[in-house]
Amino acid sequence: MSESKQNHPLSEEAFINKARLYVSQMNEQPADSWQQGLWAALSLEFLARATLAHISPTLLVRAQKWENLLFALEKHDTPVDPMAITTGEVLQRLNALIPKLRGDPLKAIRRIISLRNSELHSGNSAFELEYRGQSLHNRYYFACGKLLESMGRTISDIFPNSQTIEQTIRSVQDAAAESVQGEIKSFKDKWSQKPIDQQERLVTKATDWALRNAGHVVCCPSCNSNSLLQGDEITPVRTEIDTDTNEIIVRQTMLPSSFECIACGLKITGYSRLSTCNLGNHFTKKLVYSASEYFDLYTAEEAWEYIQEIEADAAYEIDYNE
Amino acid sequence: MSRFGIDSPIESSTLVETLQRDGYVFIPKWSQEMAPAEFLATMETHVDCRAHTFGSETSSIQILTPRTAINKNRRQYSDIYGLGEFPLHTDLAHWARPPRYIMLRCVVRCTDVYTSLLPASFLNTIIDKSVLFQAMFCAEHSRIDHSGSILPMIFTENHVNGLRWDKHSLKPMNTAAFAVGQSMSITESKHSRMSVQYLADIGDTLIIDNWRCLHGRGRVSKEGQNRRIQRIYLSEVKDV
Repeated sequence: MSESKQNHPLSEEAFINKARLYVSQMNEQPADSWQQGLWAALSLEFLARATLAHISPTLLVRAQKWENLLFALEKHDTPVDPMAITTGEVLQRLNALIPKLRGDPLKAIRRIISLRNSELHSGNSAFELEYRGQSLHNRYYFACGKLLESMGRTISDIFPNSQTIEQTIRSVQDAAAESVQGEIKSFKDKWSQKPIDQQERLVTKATDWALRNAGHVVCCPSCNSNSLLQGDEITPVRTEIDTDTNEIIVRQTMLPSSFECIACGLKITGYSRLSTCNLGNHFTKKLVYSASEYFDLYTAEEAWEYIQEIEADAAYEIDYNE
Repeated sequence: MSRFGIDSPIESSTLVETLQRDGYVFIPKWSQEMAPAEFLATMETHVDCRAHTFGSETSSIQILTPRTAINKNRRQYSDIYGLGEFPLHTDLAHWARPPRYIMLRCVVRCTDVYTSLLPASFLNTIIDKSVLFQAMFCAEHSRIDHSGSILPMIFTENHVNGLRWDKHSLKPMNTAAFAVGQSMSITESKHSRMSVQYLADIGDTLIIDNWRCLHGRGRVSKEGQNRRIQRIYLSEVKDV
């Protein structure tokens, strides 16, 4: 075992720990928000630096000044500003040193880093404009996966709920998912052959069925009726107290796992297939509790009365459509 | 003769298994007659006890003595709590990698001061695993040598997961870390899942897996102020 007092600031582990911190900040933001995009980009940058540090921390400093090299080699007793290289230079060095990152991985990283630059160095909210939808999510997780892999690590070293993220990564290269477009076209053709009055009846039935407390309401890619997405939790719960209503609000970001439309009958399962037909956007599951319900403050008798009240007026329901 | 120590009352395999299962192991009246240095020399032939001098801060054998709180601005638990109860913690939690094992051995007997113990696995039952994984801390500002380092609550070394916790030396850096702090306060106030162990006789020895078991100390009575405990940090405990 290697007990140690402190990680060197330019060590792989120091960057990994910082990436973990920034990922936790990312996971606390609302799904598909600009804040989530910014934290994601910053965490990605630390992972890129960790990948260079994995080879040698000396690759992260400007070599023109010899004190920088001494600092990176942990030979300098007095703290100095290590004069680190820019992120652009980090990516250039990764390109030169790790052939497996050339092509799609570095392309994905560059895209996200350019959004980060635009966010931080211009008046535009770059992530509000572009960090929408699955494509950037997919690129982010794909890039993180490749960087971690090149350090001999796995996605579970950085992310909780790694299984769902691995699904996201697989979807990037899952060519089989393309077949879902053919299924949608087939259902669309069958829908168009139905009489108008039957279509109207089915649309009404689907609208009554696809409720916010039953799943995330989306538009069916085949018949445009209201339909439902179900998903798996991808982040830890975020709990807030609404002091105006004294309610406790619990939110969790979900990764879509299955889709169903009862109007045309289309069903799609698997994140990779869902993301191919633009149903891969993360969504938020929201639960609202009263304080007594959340903290379990009732006796058994009171709880029974309370449950009966809840069943009577169904005041608090799950909401998948924040 | 035992495989672990000259007159150790338990077999080393039992010791290692118990450490893995419970996070700590108690060995009653172990090598009572030996002086600290002699005991350590004996230990070195039986366990991997590399020199843990840790710079100038500590020596390889420290004698723990109860004392009243003198300076609350200092960072040792006795400075903060004096003779009161010490909360559950990991020793040297603000290090990048805290020492793996702590050996506590009684040199002056005391019957009414206990060591409290809580296996880290218990935290998995009260705190969501993903929250534990995401909880990140940094060393408190008083730890000048360590400030700035990001310290995950859960860390991994050679495929072994470790857990750190110390409400005084670690500063929460994110929501998950604050949530862990709240859960720990509740856990400590209930005391329900905590074990206690008394080092009541000379030679009574407690080996704690510092990565997998939190420990604390009970209140010290007037009689208990004579208590003297040897503390030795071990990097490895293994069969010989």
